[in-house]
Amino acid sequence: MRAKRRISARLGDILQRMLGPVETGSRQRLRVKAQRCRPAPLQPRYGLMMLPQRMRLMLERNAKRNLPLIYALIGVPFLLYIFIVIVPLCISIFYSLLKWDGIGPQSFVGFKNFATMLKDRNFWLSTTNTLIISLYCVLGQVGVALVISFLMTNRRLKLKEFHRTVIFFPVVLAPVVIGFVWKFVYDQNFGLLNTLLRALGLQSWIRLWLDDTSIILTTISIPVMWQYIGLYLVILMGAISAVPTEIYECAEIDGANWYQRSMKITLPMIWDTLKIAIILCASGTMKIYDHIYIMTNGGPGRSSSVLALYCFKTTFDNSNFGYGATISVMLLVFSLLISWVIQLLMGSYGRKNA
Amino acid sequence: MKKITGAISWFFINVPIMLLSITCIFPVIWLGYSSLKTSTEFNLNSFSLPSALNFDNYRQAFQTAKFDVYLFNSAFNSFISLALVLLFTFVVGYLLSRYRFKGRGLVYGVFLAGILVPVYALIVPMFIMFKNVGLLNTRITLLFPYIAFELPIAIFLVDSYVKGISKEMEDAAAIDGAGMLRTMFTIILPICRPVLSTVVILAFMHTWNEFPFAQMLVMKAAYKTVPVGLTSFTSQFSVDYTLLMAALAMATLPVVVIYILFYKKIMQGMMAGAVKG
Repeated sequence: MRAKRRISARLGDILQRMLGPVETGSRQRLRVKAQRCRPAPLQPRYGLMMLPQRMRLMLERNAKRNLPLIYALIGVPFLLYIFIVIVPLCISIFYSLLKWDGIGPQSFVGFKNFATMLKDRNFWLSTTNTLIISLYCVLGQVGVALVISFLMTNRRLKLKEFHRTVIFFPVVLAPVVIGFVWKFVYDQNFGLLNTLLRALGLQSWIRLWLDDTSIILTTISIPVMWQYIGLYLVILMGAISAVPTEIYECAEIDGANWYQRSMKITLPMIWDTLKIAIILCASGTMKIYDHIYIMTNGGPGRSSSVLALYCFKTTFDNSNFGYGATISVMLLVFSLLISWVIQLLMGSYGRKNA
Repeated sequence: MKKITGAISWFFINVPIMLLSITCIFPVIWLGYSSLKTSTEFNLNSFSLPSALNFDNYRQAFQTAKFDVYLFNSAFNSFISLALVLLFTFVVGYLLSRYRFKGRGLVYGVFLAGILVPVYALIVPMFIMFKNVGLLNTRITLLFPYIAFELPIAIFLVDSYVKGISKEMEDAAAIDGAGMLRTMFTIILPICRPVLSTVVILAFMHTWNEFPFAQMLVMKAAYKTVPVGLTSFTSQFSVDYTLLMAALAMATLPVVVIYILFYKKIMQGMMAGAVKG
């Protein structure tokens, strides 16, 4: 046994000499890393540890004396936050049980608003629209961002820093501005898209982009996708850069190509971040409003109505405050539900793969 | 053979991403130069560069469309809420990470839960509440939601940053006789400058671009902000596209300048905010 091992060690030596710098290089690096991992020798600390007992007591007493000040300093922002976020959250549940036009008398109707909602065809249309747009956005934002972030690890891709900076740029623009810009892009007469199609000789592709009910959900999703690809790209690239490079080096030595490295190493290593990105994207798209208000305002007809838009229209245009609050509550419920479902789905899949 | 496949894969990797990058930046450039055209020029050819620099659209936006009022209101909201967000998040973040006191868990928990709340669901109840208190349509109406929504993520950014600062400095300050406030503002504040600048930039982006709250809570023309002002352009001047483009360009310019100056910081901040959330 021992002889065998000695032989294999000898073989290793010979192999090492034959294979040359690659092998020794990575070995050396590993050795250096191992040294780095060893715990540092204990050194005397000249900090609070060495303070005399009396001084420490004094410091603690100081902290106690400051207590009213601490409460005052934290209290102001905390109360502001309670009144602006937590209180409306609670009263929205209360108002969802009322029938109220915003001015006249309020009458308590129990769960009648929720019953109306179940039968309200426009509510369900808005809900399905919102869900479809969310699905598009998850695929279009996180999916495209994932592909690009994989490509960013490819040596053939040039100008990586430029691409990252430029693709992130639309994230910081106002959604209202994005809505207007894409309205110009889609415009049927002078819009960039149709001008481009005409120039390329693809007249048959020209559509009334924002007036065609059969494609409206796709056309209004594209600006939203386009705006936020950069955000998820940066999140995923951050996660990829946290994967230790040694793993990639080993895989490369073993002959894994870029595709295999992406699928077998990167994807499992960034699974948690991917999950967060998808939750963020789906629950973020549930409350989509600005882009659609600018581009179509729910039209043509009600074909591009979404939950937030429907909620505001019921409340402020039809002055149905009770029912508006009901839809608000549902908006809240849906966003929490969707994050929970994604957590459930991706959690189990990830565990099976890992 | 290998060279050819290499060239093909180079093409398929570089070209689509380059196209995406161009689409990301071109609309804004187009917006910029189109706003310098006259309407007739724009209607003839929407793609071409302007034949001469023509600032009439900008002049008109200020004179007839009262764009200066919107700009002032947006700037007012942004700066006041920035100052208060900065103060609040620094104080709360620092105290939460350094001091143990009764109710600390509650404060922490409420702010943490706040990250999960989709703020759009709050507009209707907030409208009702503000109406009852008489806070609708005032100059300070929007400050309340803007400050409150910025708090949770900013507090956690500051909190985790302060946790990384060693405590010895504060102990030394305390032994030298500095009180809590003095330690906080003269010793910790300068150290926290990087994270505070991230907070400021993110808060500015959010406040400057915010639309639904500004639209619902403020109906008075004198207090409207830039994003809401932009929507009034289409209803009043439904045909004048170059005028609208000038307004859009002005609404975008501050954000673009800040992005060019601080894009690394913005990416870091958004990433941290996203991963925390």
